[in-house]
Amino acid sequence: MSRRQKKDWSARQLFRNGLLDQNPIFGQLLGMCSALAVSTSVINGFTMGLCVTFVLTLSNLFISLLRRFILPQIRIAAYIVIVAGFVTVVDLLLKAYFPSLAASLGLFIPLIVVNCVILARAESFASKQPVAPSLLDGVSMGLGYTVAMVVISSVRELLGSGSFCGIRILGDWFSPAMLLISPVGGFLVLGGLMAGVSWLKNKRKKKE
Amino acid sequence: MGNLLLLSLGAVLVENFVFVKFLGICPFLGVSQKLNTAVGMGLAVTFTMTISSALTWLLHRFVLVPLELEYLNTVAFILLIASLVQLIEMVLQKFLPSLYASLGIYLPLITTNCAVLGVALLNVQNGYDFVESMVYGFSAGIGFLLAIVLLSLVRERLIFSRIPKPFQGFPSALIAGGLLALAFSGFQGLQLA
Amino acid sequence: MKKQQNSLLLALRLTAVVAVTTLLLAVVNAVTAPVIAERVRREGMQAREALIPGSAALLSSPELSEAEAKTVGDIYRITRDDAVQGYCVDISVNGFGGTISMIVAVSVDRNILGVKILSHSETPGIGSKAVEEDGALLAALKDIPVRGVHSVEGISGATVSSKAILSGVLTATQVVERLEQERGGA
Repeated sequence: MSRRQKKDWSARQLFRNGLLDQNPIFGQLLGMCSALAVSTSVINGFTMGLCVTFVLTLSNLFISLLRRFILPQIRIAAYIVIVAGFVTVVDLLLKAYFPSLAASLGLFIPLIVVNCVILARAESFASKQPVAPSLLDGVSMGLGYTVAMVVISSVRELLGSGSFCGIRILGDWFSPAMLLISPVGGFLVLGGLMAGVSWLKNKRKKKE
Repeated sequence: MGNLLLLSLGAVLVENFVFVKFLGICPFLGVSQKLNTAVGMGLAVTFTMTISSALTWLLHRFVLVPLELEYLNTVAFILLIASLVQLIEMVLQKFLPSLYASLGIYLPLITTNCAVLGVALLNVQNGYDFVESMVYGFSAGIGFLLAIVLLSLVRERLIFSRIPKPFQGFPSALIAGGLLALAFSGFQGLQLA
Repeated sequence: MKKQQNSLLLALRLTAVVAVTTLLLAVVNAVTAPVIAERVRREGMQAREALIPGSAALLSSPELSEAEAKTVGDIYRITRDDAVQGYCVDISVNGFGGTISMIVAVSVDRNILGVKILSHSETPGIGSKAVEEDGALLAALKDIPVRGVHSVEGISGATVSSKAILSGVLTATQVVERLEQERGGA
């Protein structure tokens, strides 16, 4: 009886969910701070995406493993400790082996702890689902976040610096719109992209 | 004294936490539809940031540094902030139930406000002393309050405009936020030190 | 009685989670901390060697004013063939995106030999122009007399970053001036 109440997620469903339907940035509107701050270059955005995926996957995994051990009354504190732990691991590893990336991402690495995506998935998914779907959910949400970050960063870096991943693509004839890399540009680009996503969603709805 | 004033002005205007540092964006966008919720959230966040700045500084200076446990910064700070917010919740529920009811779910969400943890970490990164940390925390909160109130004023009027369907809701809030950020970038030239 | 037992059980479970997490972090820290320390040491050494070749001696507890203590880190006196060549001063300033870590090399005849940026969080494409190795700002800070710092212009669009670097360089020159006078140099 309880089996039928719980929805069984297939891998395909999970990936579609994380990448499209409930995309952390464009669908759920979570993790905005980093989306605006770190998306000034594709390398930064991509690295941030990988870090979030790493933390999200591991925290989903362990919270799912411990879902019967962590009783509801202490769950928020427990989730925070687990997520903060993995974030610190990422922080230390980056500082040791990729110091320049650690410096450019700066404050936003430890701030992954309060990235709402991770706590939201812990609360709504990993604490209720078995290990395998939770793991896949973490990976797919992380991937959705990474893809969104790369899209935003690509627009900002390409039109704002004329480069992609640090390599100058648009020639001298192109005067980069430096505004796009500034904080102002972050707001405008994200707003524009969200409007675009909303428009695409409406188009799909009309078709159905 | 003058030094503190410069620090304070810097945090509110030149390096506004929302428009320049991108901290506190989620509540900035999520709670700015109406003026009174924006004010309530802004004040609650300022209060939390001031106290958490003080407490995290003390924790860092007297526990983490002597024991050489600085790598536990993030974990310790966020736990402290979560507990502080819980405490504030309980106190409000008991003594100011109307405020507690109007803030609703947004109160526990202060824990996940990047600005609160962000300012605690920045205090450590910038090497501020106890008074400077509290002033910085308070001013950063005021900056957040200013930002969220300004956006709510714009959004309250925005609902009367005819906005193309894809831009309705969040995208229009982001664009409005961007224009506010543009206005604030004028403060960059302010010679403070 | 049952409620007390329940609370205790909750507290114990939470403590267990905290304990395991702390243990994991202690292990990772034990592995990474020496790596980080070694890399910082090596980077510093290479940077100093490139700025002023010679043997570097770390000055123990140099006198610094309260304001200077906030930006100045380690100071190395560089000697070659028994003659003091100059100083390498570790400086950290607040740039736009975060802390800018650099080494400022000042020679005994009051010339700025160069500035090496060790780490920064400046926005790529905007503030990063000020910290570029072969950028206009750092090039302008190579082999110039100390008093020439005041006429170095910042990079347009990267005002905050440029100002931060220039103020850091000025602080370094002030410290070196005082150290040289103490030492009895000309």
